[in-house]
This record gives sequence, structure tokens and C-alpha cells, in this order.
Amino acid sequence: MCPEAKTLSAYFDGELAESARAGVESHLKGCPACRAALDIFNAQRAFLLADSSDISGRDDRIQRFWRYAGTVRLNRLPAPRRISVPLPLAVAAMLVLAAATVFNFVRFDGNSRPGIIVLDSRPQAPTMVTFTITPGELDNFFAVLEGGVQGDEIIHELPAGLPVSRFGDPMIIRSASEGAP
Amino acid sequence: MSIDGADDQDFAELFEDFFDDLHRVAWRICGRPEVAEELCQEAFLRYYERRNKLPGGIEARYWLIRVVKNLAFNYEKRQVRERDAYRVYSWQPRMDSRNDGELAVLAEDSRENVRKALQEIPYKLRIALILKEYSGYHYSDISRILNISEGNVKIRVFRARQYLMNILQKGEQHVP
Repeated sequence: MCPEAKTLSAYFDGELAESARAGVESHLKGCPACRAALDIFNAQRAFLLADSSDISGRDDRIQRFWRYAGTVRLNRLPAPRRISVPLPLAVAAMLVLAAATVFNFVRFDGNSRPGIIVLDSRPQAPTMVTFTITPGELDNFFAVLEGGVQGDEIIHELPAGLPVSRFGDPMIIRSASEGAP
Repeated sequence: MSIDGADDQDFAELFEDFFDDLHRVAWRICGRPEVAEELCQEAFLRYYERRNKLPGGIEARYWLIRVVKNLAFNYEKRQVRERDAYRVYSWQPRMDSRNDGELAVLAEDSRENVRKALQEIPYKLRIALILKEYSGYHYSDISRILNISEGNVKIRVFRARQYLMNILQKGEQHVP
């Protein structure tokens, strides 16, 4: 019975144990098919090794390597610096940060008892006020701003932080964009 | 060379002793000599930069082959992507300055045939066959380089030979 093809391959590579190798050799004497398989392996090896060109014997290999190493070194980006913080210091920093956060958001009452967490006690920001003046009403608008008095300079102060959006003539902005501080 | 590390002298000896072998393997994996040389240089540079932490001796050679194998694999993947993108097969055979005339043409034909045949073998199988045929490693060495069992090496080498046989028959390559 013929050995498996992979066993023939291993035999060809000299990788069989002594007893197995002797068995294959004994078989080969009477089996032209297995001998033909080995011939194919031999032919393949000859084919692969026919391309024998390589760079063996080039004595400037090491110089070319150092040139390559130098080029790589010059082109390589510097490695990002790793900042190592000792664990106790990191823990202490975290505690300080947490305490500062709590102190900022927790209100204490008169009895020094912790109060509720107040996220933002400031009054709400003014809502957007949008008024649209048609070109025909522009004169009336300025008359209102100026108190109906023609010729006198009137300064109208808008509430601080009042956002004004404008649709139309840029003159309105001239009057409305200046809010009182 | 110390097993725990290598100094500069050890590195120079390793380079001189092993560069040609490594280049031979890299060349057959990637198919291009000039690329193979750069892959080998990169592998040696990585070894040089870590030489105090890496083992010496035969393990250094195994380590270098593994690095070259991975670099060549990445190169091949990049090549396939570029080929798919541009549909251009740009490899141009280079003449060997040591040959001339008809000899050079025959050598180039032979080289190109081998390169094409090897490139058609699946990567995992090709590596095993290259390490066997061009470096002469035993299955036990190849198993340590590739981190697979010896039985697996045996099968991969055999299957690579099956592929090669079919490729050569299909392409009607001249087999001496």
C-alpha cells in the first residue's frame, strides 16, 4: 500500500524517522507511481533553485544598512512623551478635584448643614426678543425710540445682554446694538 | 553571542552571518529583491533597537524571520490593495548587472517564472515551502519560527507542493 502523499513529501525532505524512512524506501523499489511523485518534488526543487540570483557577496551590505538606519532615524517622528505620575499623587489630585467640585456646587445654610446641590442659582438668561420692523414703520420706530422729539439726541439703553436679531435696515442696529453695561 | 542580549559586535556578526539567508527568504516571500532588502534592513533595525532585550543565537534568527515574514505579508496586502485600486501591474524585471545578453534574458525569465509561481501559492503555505527549500530549515525549526506544530509544517509544505505542481502544469512552465 502506498504511503500518504504528505509522507512522501516528508520523506523527500528527510524528515521521517528511521523506521518510517526504511519502510518508504522499501516501498519505492516496487512502486513507479511513488517514484514519479518524488521526481515531481525533485523537479520543483530544481525549478525553485534555478533562480539562484541573490545579493550574496555584496560587501557593502552593512554600510547600506547603516544608511537605512540613519534615514529611518531622521524621518521617524519623536515618540510621544509619556508622563508618569506616581499613584499617590494621582489619587491626591483626584480627591482635591472632587472636593473642589463639591464645594462649588453645594450650598451651606446658616446651621452649617449641607444644603441641596444647586446647579445654577443665577437668574435665567433673557430670552431672545425678536422684533421686525417693516420699512414703512421705520420712521415710527425711531419716533418711539426718540420720544417723538425731533432734532434732539436720544440715547436709548437696552437691557444688558439682550440679544437683538435684525431683519432689514442696518440703521436699526445702529440704535439697538448698544446695550447698557 | 549572549543568550540574554547582544552588543554591537554581536550584532555586526549576526548581520554578516545572516543577512543573505534572511534576504533570500524575504525575496521569495515578496517577489522583489529591492523590496526584500528593505524588509531585511527594517527587521535588523528593529532587532538592533531592541538588542538588549531580545535573545541572541538561533532565536535571534527565528525572530528576524518572523519580523520579515510579517513585514512581507503587510507589503503584499498593500500591493494587492494598490493593484485593485489602480488595476496596474507595475512590476518591471530588473537586469542583473552581473549577467549580459542572452544569459541575462534567461535568468530574468527564470526569476520571473519562479516569482509568479510562488506568488500564486497561498501565503501560509508559501512561507513554509520557502523556509524549507531556500533556507533548508528542518520542520522543527520552521515550527518554532511559525509557531505551529511540526505536523502542521509537514502538511503546509506538502500542500504548497501540490499548489506548485498545479501552477506549473497550468502555466506550462518549463520544469527541468
